[in-house]
Amino acid sequence: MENKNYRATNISMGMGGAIIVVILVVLCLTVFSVLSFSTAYSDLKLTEKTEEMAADYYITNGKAEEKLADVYNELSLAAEKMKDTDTPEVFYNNATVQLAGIDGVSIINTDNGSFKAYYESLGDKNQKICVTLNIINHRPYYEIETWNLAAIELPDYEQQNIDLWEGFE
Amino acid sequence: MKNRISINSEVSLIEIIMSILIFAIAGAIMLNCFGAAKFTQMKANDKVEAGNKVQSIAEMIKSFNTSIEADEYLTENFKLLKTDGKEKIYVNYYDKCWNLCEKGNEENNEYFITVKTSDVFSGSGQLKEFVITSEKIEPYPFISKNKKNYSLYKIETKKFFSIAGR
Repeated sequence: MENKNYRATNISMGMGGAIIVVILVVLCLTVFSVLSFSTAYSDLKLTEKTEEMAADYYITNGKAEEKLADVYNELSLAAEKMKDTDTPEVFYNNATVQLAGIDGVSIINTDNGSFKAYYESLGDKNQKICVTLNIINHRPYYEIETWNLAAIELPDYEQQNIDLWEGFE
Repeated sequence: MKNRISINSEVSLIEIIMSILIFAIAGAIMLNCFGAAKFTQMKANDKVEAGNKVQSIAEMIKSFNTSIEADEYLTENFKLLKTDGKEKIYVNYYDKCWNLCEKGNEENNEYFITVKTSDVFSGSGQLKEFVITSEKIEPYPFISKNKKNYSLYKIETKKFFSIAGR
Protein backbone atom coordinates (compact mmCIF):
# COMPACT_ATOMS: atom_id res chain seq x y z
CA MET A 1 0.00 0.00 0.00
CA GLU A 2 2.78 2.36 0.94
CA ASN A 3 4.55 1.91 -2.37
CA LYS A 4 1.63 3.52 -4.17
CA ASN A 5 2.45 6.87 -2.53
CA TYR A 6 5.72 7.15 -4.47
CA ARG A 7 5.85 8.59 -7.97
CA ALA A 8 8.83 7.36 -9.89
CA THR A 9 10.63 9.92 -12.12
CA ASN A 10 13.16 8.69 -14.59
CA ILE A 11 15.96 11.11 -15.53
CA SER A 12 18.41 9.89 -18.05
CA MET A 13 21.70 11.74 -18.29
CA GLY A 14 22.76 10.01 -21.39
CA MET A 15 26.25 9.54 -22.73
CA GLY A 16 28.64 12.41 -21.97
CA GLY A 17 26.23 14.05 -19.50
CA ALA A 18 28.60 13.70 -16.56
CA ILE A 19 31.44 15.34 -18.45
CA ILE A 20 29.21 18.25 -19.48
CA VAL A 21 28.15 18.80 -15.84
CA VAL A 22 31.78 18.63 -14.69
CA ILE A 23 32.88 21.08 -17.40
CA LEU A 24 30.09 23.48 -16.41
CA VAL A 25 31.05 23.34 -12.73
CA VAL A 26 34.74 23.80 -13.57
CA LEU A 27 33.91 26.73 -15.84
CA CYS A 28 31.88 28.45 -13.09
CA LEU A 29 34.62 27.91 -10.51
CA THR A 30 37.27 29.17 -12.93
CA VAL A 31 35.28 32.37 -13.56
CA PHE A 32 34.88 32.89 -9.80
CA SER A 33 38.57 32.30 -9.10
CA VAL A 34 39.70 34.64 -11.90
CA LEU A 35 37.27 37.32 -10.71
CA SER A 36 38.42 37.08 -7.10
CA PHE A 37 42.08 37.18 -8.15
CA SER A 38 41.57 40.20 -10.44
CA THR A 39 39.77 42.09 -7.62
CA ALA A 40 42.56 41.31 -5.15
CA TYR A 41 45.23 42.23 -7.69
CA SER A 42 43.63 45.59 -8.50
CA ASP A 43 43.45 46.30 -4.74
CA LEU A 44 47.15 45.51 -4.46
CA LYS A 45 48.01 47.76 -7.43
CA LEU A 46 46.04 50.60 -5.82
CA THR A 47 47.89 50.24 -2.51
CA GLU A 48 51.22 50.09 -4.36
CA LYS A 49 50.36 53.35 -6.18
CA THR A 50 49.41 54.96 -2.85
CA GLU A 51 52.71 53.76 -1.38
CA GLU A 52 54.67 55.25 -4.30
CA MET A 53 52.93 58.61 -3.84
CA ALA A 54 53.48 58.61 -0.07
CA ALA A 55 57.14 57.61 -0.46
CA ASP A 56 57.66 60.37 -3.03
CA TYR A 57 55.99 62.91 -0.72
CA TYR A 58 58.32 62.02 2.17
CA ILE A 59 61.40 62.17 -0.09
CA THR A 60 60.26 65.61 -1.36
CA ASN A 61 59.68 66.71 2.22
CA GLY A 62 63.18 65.50 3.09
CA LYS A 63 64.64 67.57 0.23
CA ALA A 64 62.76 70.64 1.52
CA GLU A 65 64.18 70.02 5.02
CA GLU A 66 67.66 69.70 3.50
CA LYS A 67 67.28 73.09 1.80
CA LEU A 68 65.97 74.55 5.05
CA ALA A 69 69.17 73.36 6.70
CA ASP A 70 71.18 75.12 3.96
CA VAL A 71 69.20 78.34 4.47
CA TYR A 72 69.74 78.20 8.23
CA ASN A 73 73.45 77.53 7.74
CA GLU A 74 73.80 80.59 5.48
CA LEU A 75 71.87 82.72 7.98
CA SER A 76 74.26 81.60 10.72
CA LEU A 77 77.24 82.54 8.52
CA ALA A 78 75.69 85.97 7.87
CA ALA A 79 75.25 86.47 11.62
CA GLU A 80 78.86 85.46 12.27
CA LYS A 81 80.10 88.17 9.89
CA MET A 82 78.28 90.87 11.89
CA LYS A 83 80.02 93.12 14.36
CA ASP A 84 78.40 94.33 17.57
CA THR A 85 77.96 97.85 16.21
CA ASP A 86 76.26 96.75 12.98
CA THR A 87 72.60 97.58 12.39
CA PRO A 88 69.91 94.94 11.52
CA GLU A 89 70.09 96.13 7.89
CA VAL A 90 73.67 94.85 7.71
CA PHE A 91 72.48 91.38 8.78
CA TYR A 92 69.67 91.42 6.21
CA ASN A 93 72.10 92.51 3.47
CA ASN A 94 74.62 89.83 4.43
CA ALA A 95 71.90 87.20 4.61
CA THR A 96 70.50 88.17 1.19
CA VAL A 97 73.95 87.81 -0.36
CA GLN A 98 74.53 84.46 1.38
CA LEU A 99 71.11 83.04 0.43
CA ALA A 100 71.53 84.08 -3.21
CA GLY A 101 74.24 81.41 -3.37
CA ILE A 102 71.77 78.60 -2.72
CA ASP A 103 70.27 77.17 -5.88
CA GLY A 104 66.50 77.67 -6.18
CA VAL A 105 66.05 80.09 -3.26
CA SER A 106 64.47 83.43 -4.14
CA ILE A 107 64.32 86.47 -1.87
CA ILE A 108 61.19 88.57 -1.37
CA ASN A 109 61.83 91.92 0.32
CA THR A 110 59.20 93.25 2.68
CA ASP A 111 58.37 96.86 3.72
CA ASN A 112 59.86 96.66 7.21
CA GLY A 113 63.40 95.90 6.02
CA SER A 114 63.24 92.16 6.73
CA PHE A 115 62.73 89.62 3.93
CA LYS A 116 61.23 86.30 2.99
CA ALA A 117 62.93 83.35 1.38
CA TYR A 118 60.98 81.14 -1.02
CA TYR A 119 61.91 77.80 -2.51
CA GLU A 120 60.33 74.72 -4.01
CA SER A 121 61.21 71.08 -3.59
CA LEU A 122 60.17 68.96 -6.56
CA GLY A 123 59.09 65.34 -6.40
CA ASP A 124 59.00 62.70 -9.14
CA LYS A 125 55.24 62.08 -9.01
CA ASN A 126 53.93 65.51 -10.07
CA GLN A 127 54.06 66.96 -6.56
CA LYS A 128 56.12 69.74 -5.03
CA ILE A 129 56.46 71.42 -1.66
CA CYS A 130 56.45 75.24 -1.69
CA VAL A 131 58.15 76.82 1.31
CA THR A 132 58.12 80.46 2.39
CA LEU A 133 60.31 81.48 5.32
CA ASN A 134 60.07 84.73 7.22
CA ILE A 135 63.57 85.88 8.16
CA ILE A 136 63.06 88.16 11.13
CA ASN A 137 64.72 89.42 14.31
CA HIS A 138 68.07 90.12 12.54
CA ARG A 139 69.56 86.86 13.80
CA PRO A 140 69.64 83.33 12.44
CA TYR A 141 65.97 82.67 13.04
CA TYR A 142 63.19 81.80 10.64
CA GLU A 143 59.47 81.40 10.82
CA ILE A 144 57.81 78.97 8.43
CA GLU A 145 55.06 80.96 6.76
CA THR A 146 53.99 78.32 4.27
CA TRP A 147 54.88 74.66 3.79
CA ASN A 148 52.42 73.59 1.14
CA LEU A 149 52.10 70.50 -1.00
CA ALA A 150 50.99 71.33 -4.56
CA ALA A 151 50.84 69.70 -7.97
CA ILE A 152 53.63 70.64 -10.40
CA GLU A 153 51.37 70.60 -13.44
CA LEU A 154 47.63 70.79 -13.27
CA PRO A 155 45.70 69.01 -16.03
CA ASP A 156 44.07 71.29 -18.58
CA TYR A 157 40.33 70.68 -18.38
CA GLU A 158 39.38 73.66 -20.57
CA GLN A 159 39.52 71.76 -23.85
CA GLN A 160 37.34 68.94 -22.56
CA ASN A 161 34.51 71.20 -21.40
CA ILE A 162 31.31 71.00 -23.37
CA ASP A 163 28.86 73.88 -22.95
CA LEU A 164 25.54 72.32 -22.11
CA TRP A 165 23.58 75.45 -21.38
CA GLU A 166 24.63 79.06 -21.45
CA GLY A 167 21.46 80.48 -19.96
CA PHE A 168 19.10 83.21 -21.18
CA GLU A 169 20.15 86.79 -21.63
CA MET B 1 2.95 11.79 -1.60
CA LYS B 2 6.73 11.57 -1.96
CA ASN B 3 8.71 11.80 -5.19
CA ARG B 4 11.29 9.20 -5.82
CA ILE B 5 13.87 10.22 -8.34
CA SER B 6 15.74 7.41 -9.90
CA ILE B 7 18.52 8.21 -12.29
CA ASN B 8 18.60 5.82 -15.07
CA SER B 9 22.31 5.87 -15.41
CA GLU B 10 23.94 5.26 -18.70
CA VAL B 11 27.25 6.71 -17.51
CA SER B 12 30.14 4.43 -18.22
CA LEU B 13 33.07 3.94 -15.91
CA ILE B 14 35.44 5.55 -18.37
CA GLU B 15 33.26 8.69 -18.36
CA ILE B 16 33.33 8.91 -14.57
CA ILE B 17 37.08 8.49 -14.56
CA MET B 18 37.44 11.20 -17.22
CA SER B 19 35.21 13.56 -15.22
CA ILE B 20 37.21 13.02 -12.07
CA LEU B 21 40.42 13.54 -13.98
CA ILE B 22 39.20 16.81 -15.53
CA PHE B 23 37.91 18.01 -12.16
CA ALA B 24 41.19 17.10 -10.46
CA ILE B 25 43.34 18.94 -13.01
CA ALA B 26 41.09 22.00 -13.15
CA GLY B 27 40.67 21.91 -9.36
CA ALA B 28 44.41 22.04 -8.79
CA ILE B 29 44.71 25.10 -11.04
CA MET B 30 41.67 26.77 -9.46
CA LEU B 31 42.84 26.09 -5.94
CA ASN B 32 46.08 27.83 -6.81
CA CYS B 33 44.12 30.76 -8.25
CA PHE B 34 41.87 31.00 -5.16
CA GLY B 35 44.93 30.78 -2.91
CA ALA B 36 46.73 33.49 -4.86
CA ALA B 37 43.61 35.68 -4.68
CA LYS B 38 43.31 35.21 -0.92
CA PHE B 39 46.94 36.03 -0.18
CA THR B 40 47.07 38.90 -2.70
CA GLN B 41 44.12 40.48 -0.90
CA MET B 42 45.82 39.81 2.43
CA LYS B 43 48.98 41.50 1.15
CA ALA B 44 46.99 44.51 -0.05
CA ASN B 45 45.31 44.82 3.37
CA ASP B 46 48.69 44.47 5.12
CA LYS B 47 50.16 47.19 2.92
CA VAL B 48 47.34 49.57 3.91
CA GLU B 49 47.80 48.81 7.62
CA ALA B 50 51.60 49.05 7.35
CA GLY B 51 51.23 52.37 5.51
CA ASN B 52 49.07 53.77 8.29
CA LYS B 53 51.56 52.73 10.98
CA VAL B 54 54.65 53.92 9.07
CA GLN B 55 53.12 57.28 8.10
CA SER B 56 51.90 57.83 11.65
CA ILE B 57 55.48 57.37 12.94
CA ALA B 58 56.84 59.69 10.22
CA GLU B 59 54.30 62.40 11.09
CA MET B 60 55.16 62.09 14.78
CA ILE B 61 58.85 62.60 13.99
CA LYS B 62 58.01 65.54 11.71
CA SER B 63 56.08 67.24 14.50
CA PHE B 64 59.01 67.48 16.94
CA ASN B 65 60.95 70.72 17.29
CA THR B 66 64.16 69.26 18.66
CA SER B 67 66.11 66.07 17.97
CA ILE B 68 66.02 65.27 21.70
CA GLU B 69 62.21 65.09 21.56
CA ALA B 70 62.43 62.76 18.56
CA ASP B 71 64.99 60.54 20.30
CA GLU B 72 62.84 60.43 23.45
CA TYR B 73 59.79 59.41 21.43
CA LEU B 74 61.70 56.63 19.69
CA THR B 75 63.32 55.37 22.91
CA GLU B 76 59.98 55.29 24.75
CA ASN B 77 57.97 53.66 21.97
CA PHE B 78 60.48 51.34 20.31
CA LYS B 79 63.16 48.87 21.30
CA LEU B 80 66.69 49.99 20.46
CA LEU B 81 68.11 47.22 18.27
CA LYS B 82 71.48 48.58 17.24
CA THR B 83 73.69 51.64 17.69
CA ASP B 84 76.48 52.13 15.22
CA GLY B 85 78.18 55.52 15.53
CA LYS B 86 75.69 58.12 14.34
CA GLU B 87 73.23 55.47 13.25
CA LYS B 88 70.51 53.96 15.44
CA ILE B 89 68.01 51.25 14.61
CA TYR B 90 64.76 50.93 16.54
CA VAL B 91 62.29 48.08 16.14
CA ASN B 92 58.74 47.16 17.13
CA TYR B 93 57.05 43.80 16.61
CA TYR B 94 53.36 43.30 15.84
CA ASP B 95 51.04 40.27 15.87
CA LYS B 96 48.77 39.19 12.99
CA CYS B 97 46.14 41.81 13.98
CA TRP B 98 48.81 44.55 14.04
CA ASN B 99 48.72 44.81 17.83
CA LEU B 100 52.02 45.64 19.48
CA CYS B 101 53.74 42.48 20.81
CA GLU B 102 55.13 42.58 24.31
CA LYS B 103 58.68 41.50 25.04
CA GLY B 104 58.93 37.76 25.66
CA ASN B 105 55.93 37.02 23.47
CA GLU B 106 57.92 36.45 20.31
CA GLU B 107 55.93 33.46 18.98
CA ASN B 108 53.06 35.78 17.96
CA ASN B 109 55.33 38.11 16.00
CA GLU B 110 54.09 38.45 12.45
CA TYR B 111 55.25 41.91 11.34
CA PHE B 112 57.91 44.37 12.42
CA ILE B 113 58.63 48.05 11.87
CA THR B 114 62.19 49.38 11.94
CA VAL B 115 63.15 53.04 12.26
CA LYS B 116 66.71 53.79 11.18
CA THR B 117 67.98 57.23 12.19
CA SER B 118 71.28 58.71 11.08
CA ASP B 119 72.86 62.17 11.32
CA VAL B 120 73.45 63.67 7.89
CA PHE B 121 75.22 66.69 9.29
CA SER B 122 75.24 68.69 12.48
CA GLY B 123 76.55 72.24 12.36
CA SER B 124 74.32 75.16 13.18
CA GLY B 125 71.51 72.64 13.46
CA GLN B 126 70.96 68.94 13.05
CA LEU B 127 69.77 67.25 9.88
CA LYS B 128 68.64 63.70 10.50
CA GLU B 129 67.64 61.02 8.06
CA PHE B 130 64.86 58.59 8.93
CA VAL B 131 64.20 55.35 7.09
CA ILE B 132 61.02 53.66 8.28
CA THR B 133 60.38 50.14 6.99
CA SER B 134 57.61 47.68 7.65
CA GLU B 135 58.23 44.00 6.95
CA LYS B 136 56.48 40.65 7.31
CA ILE B 137 58.47 37.91 9.01
CA GLU B 138 57.05 34.96 7.06
CA PRO B 139 56.55 35.25 3.30
CA TYR B 140 53.07 34.94 1.81
CA PRO B 141 52.26 31.43 0.50
CA PHE B 142 51.37 31.10 -3.21
CA ILE B 143 52.63 34.59 -4.13
CA SER B 144 56.03 35.14 -2.46
CA LYS B 145 58.92 33.62 -4.33
CA ASN B 146 61.72 34.55 -1.93
CA LYS B 147 61.87 33.06 1.54
CA LYS B 148 63.30 36.14 3.21
CA ASN B 149 61.42 38.89 5.09
CA TYR B 150 58.87 40.50 2.86
CA SER B 151 59.00 44.31 2.73
CA LEU B 152 55.55 45.87 2.95
CA TYR B 153 56.16 49.61 3.15
CA LYS B 154 59.18 51.86 3.14
CA ILE B 155 59.59 55.60 3.41
CA GLU B 156 62.67 57.77 3.65
CA THR B 157 62.65 61.32 4.88
CA LYS B 158 64.84 63.95 6.50
CA LYS B 159 64.18 66.39 9.28
CA PHE B 160 66.09 69.51 10.18
CA PHE B 161 66.23 70.58 13.81
CA SER B 162 67.64 74.09 14.13
CA ILE B 163 69.27 75.39 17.31
CA ALA B 164 66.89 78.36 17.51
CA GLY B 165 63.82 76.24 16.80
CA ARG B 166 61.05 77.30 14.47
